[in-house]
Amino acid sequence: MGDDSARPKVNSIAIELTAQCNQRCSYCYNEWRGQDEATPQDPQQATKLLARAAKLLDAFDLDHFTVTGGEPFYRPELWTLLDLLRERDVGVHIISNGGLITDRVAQRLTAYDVRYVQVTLNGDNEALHAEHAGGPGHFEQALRGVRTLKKHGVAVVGCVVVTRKNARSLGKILTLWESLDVHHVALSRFSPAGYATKFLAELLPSRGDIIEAFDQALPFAKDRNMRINCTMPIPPCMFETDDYEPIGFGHCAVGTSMQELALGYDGKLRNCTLHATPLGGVEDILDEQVDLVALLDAPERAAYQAQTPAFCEGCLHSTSCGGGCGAAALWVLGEQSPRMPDPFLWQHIDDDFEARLAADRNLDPASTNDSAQPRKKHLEVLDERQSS
Amino acid sequence: MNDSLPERTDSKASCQSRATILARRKRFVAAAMISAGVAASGCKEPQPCLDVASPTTTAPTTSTASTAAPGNTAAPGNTAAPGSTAAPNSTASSPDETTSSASQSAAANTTSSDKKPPTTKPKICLRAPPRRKLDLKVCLYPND
Repeated sequence: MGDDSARPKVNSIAIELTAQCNQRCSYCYNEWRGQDEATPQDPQQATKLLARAAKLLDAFDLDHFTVTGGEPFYRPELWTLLDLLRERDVGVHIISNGGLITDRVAQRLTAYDVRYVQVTLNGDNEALHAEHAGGPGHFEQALRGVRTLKKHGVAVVGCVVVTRKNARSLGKILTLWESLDVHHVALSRFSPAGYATKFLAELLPSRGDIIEAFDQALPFAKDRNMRINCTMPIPPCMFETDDYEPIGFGHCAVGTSMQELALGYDGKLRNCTLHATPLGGVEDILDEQVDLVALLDAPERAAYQAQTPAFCEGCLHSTSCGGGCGAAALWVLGEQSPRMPDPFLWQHIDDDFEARLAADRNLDPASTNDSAQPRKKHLEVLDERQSS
Repeated sequence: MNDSLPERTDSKASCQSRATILARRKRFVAAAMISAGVAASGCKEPQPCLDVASPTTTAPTTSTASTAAPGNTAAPGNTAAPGSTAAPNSTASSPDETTSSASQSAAANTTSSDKKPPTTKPKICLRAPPRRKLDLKVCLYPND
């Protein structure tokens, strides 16, 4: 193990163990979703994975790894990775759909410093969960997985991806978590990226949806001792998050000491799991020429917070908020300079984008606009208001 | 099939959302221009989107974002963001404090003169003051 004082501190790295998954979630942010079956498995995958993890551990002073996928319990090398992390005294978070967790798996996990396993439920019933998870059967599997983990004393954090489809059911879903004796829940406001970009219109919640969802969540946080975090940024101009204390809110950590970098199963290191661009253009960090510490200064990371969407210019929160999720903006609105704001915000500001969503939802675009005037870009609207 | 699917054709709601967002943005821009009211406010912390704090850590603390109320001498430095238990700058002694003289004077103006000043240094962060304190926007946007 390297000298801690000599290694730069990095909060965490999300390691995408595999592209394989037993679910077919429409909200999946993985760019490579669907490619795994088409591509032959690299026989050296397990060896490379461990070598990459070891290289990261040598380079950085890490608080923890977040092991994700795909579904991490698909891969036997998960256990070798956990051995390595235990040996290096680095904590572990695991993100799973719960479907592959058996008594044996849960029992085995107790031997490691797994701080929690995060399992997602997107409905309080089979039908609603299946609408998000890509088919029937996953709901019962997830419930069984959670109960098994609890039985063996493994900490479980619940997760709900709050979408346009389930926002109004959040209270029922939290009641279900409560009944499972899970009292810490992450609300992951749906952010379209990767594969999920296809389901933008179907899943992107509106401001009103999210407010309704948080209205339902608030009593759980306030009166029922449930710890709730919103794990995707809410731009402060959207609504007053302090109205929802003690629900926790944060903002994008890219470029800060709290950033969680993402390591793809292909060896690319990225700003986060939603971003597609490899830091420094590096295709595989295993390349012996790659200096991981130097990658922290890669322009994709170092310059990220310096970019501000035009809409956010002059705003008190522009530096910290940066217009919300920049990765989702890239996926949905394209690479532009300056970058665009989060689609979650933009759907309410830009008439063209609003019309695009309405068309994809087979709604009459005129029904979502307040006048029959030709649609305008947001900056034209702002310019008009300021000049008047 | 799905009875939970919200209806989405309410143009009034859509317009209200836009108006609210633009109004809030305007307040933030005005607040940034006058650099006022930020001294005694709370802020959010950066947080990885996949990452929630460990269940074994302490429960989220209450933000003191509203401590700008006149006469309230509760320590404004206690601005730990809820849920951000692992945040590196969640204490009043955070090295990222960059107090400006303008914001310090703004903070002083919000407390009663007959009370002791707070003993802890206010933490500067990027939160707008309450709406009622933004009458100054009249000066910035006389035509509004």
